[in-house]
Amino acid sequence: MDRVYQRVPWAPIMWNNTTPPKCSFITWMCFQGRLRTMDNLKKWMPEIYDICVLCGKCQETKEHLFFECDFARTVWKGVLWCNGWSMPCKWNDLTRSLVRSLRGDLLSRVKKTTFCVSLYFLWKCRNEVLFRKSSLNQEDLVKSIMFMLKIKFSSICKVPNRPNVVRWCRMLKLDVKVLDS
Amino acid sequence: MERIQWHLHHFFKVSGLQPNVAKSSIYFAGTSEYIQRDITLLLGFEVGYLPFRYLGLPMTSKRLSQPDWAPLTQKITAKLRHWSSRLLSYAGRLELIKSVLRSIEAFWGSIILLPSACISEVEAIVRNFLWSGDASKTKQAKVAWHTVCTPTEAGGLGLTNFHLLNKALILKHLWSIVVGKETLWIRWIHSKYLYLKEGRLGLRV
Repeated sequence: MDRVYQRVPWAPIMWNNTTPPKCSFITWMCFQGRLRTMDNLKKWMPEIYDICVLCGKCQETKEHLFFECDFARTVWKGVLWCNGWSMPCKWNDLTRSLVRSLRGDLLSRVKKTTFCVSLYFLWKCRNEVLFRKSSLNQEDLVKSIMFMLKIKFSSICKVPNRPNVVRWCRMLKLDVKVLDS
Repeated sequence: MERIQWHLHHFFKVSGLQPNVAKSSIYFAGTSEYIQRDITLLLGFEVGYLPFRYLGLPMTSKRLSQPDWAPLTQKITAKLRHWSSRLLSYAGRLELIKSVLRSIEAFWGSIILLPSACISEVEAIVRNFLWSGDASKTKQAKVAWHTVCTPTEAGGLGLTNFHLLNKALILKHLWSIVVGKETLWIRWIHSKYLYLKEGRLGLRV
């Protein structure tokens, strides 16, 4: 009973009120390094075809699938476009910048949730392409991510008058009242 | 015995509540058959034998064995066999485990110090359910169980370690004995098994 737990800095990224649990779970598995990406599978199935199904060029790793792949980049661009967030290019960079911005304000909540939801949809898209042979469509993917975010943040009714926040609300077509400060 | 019956009757007169003969039974320990027969004739209850179940929990004078804890595993698997719990996502299953299964376990665990074989059996069911969606189907676990059973802040999924939970819940009883909580059973334990000497509790041998 004398176990003392070491806190991990990335836990608040997924375990919060606005992130849908299924997205949290996939993000958690990703942080544990246990998502069944091709490079993980190759460890016990050496003969597996390990090229990323989304771009068909590089080996599929966690880094590649979610950040380096052209497909993922366009999706991130679509999702992050309005907020002036820098494009994530490395897993570590992004998580570090997310961990740094772990405050309770609206934008950082949005940031965390956007991250988890996008990760979940990218993973889902990859699985659908791989197992159901469905076709790729970036626009639909971005749309479904935005829709999920809209549902999650639809309870907000008042936002502070900050350009980033207001722009983000307009983009999601949220019906909010902008407070003058 | 007549006194007990008189009290029961008195209670019936005051409250209108009567013991149901069909649903009640009487348990003997260290009484001769002769006296037992007299008492059963007087009260009209059936004689019961250990082990029996009381409030869903097994009552036995011996160490708990596999058939004794079978109701626990049955109850848990029955919850998981329902169609609505078979169609859940990982996160949904996790939530079901956290809110429903862990509370069934905690109910047992708060009263009995369960044998580790029992805990392992229950944990196997829960683990199978989380990773494969079926209590009896073993699938390769994606993350080690001890990682799953760590708090979310420490990188786990926030499930409780049932071995520890069981011990902690039982320690709660020990705590009430030590602080001398004002209940009947604690007074009984204090008078029968414990003595207080110079501010320290000792066990009467």
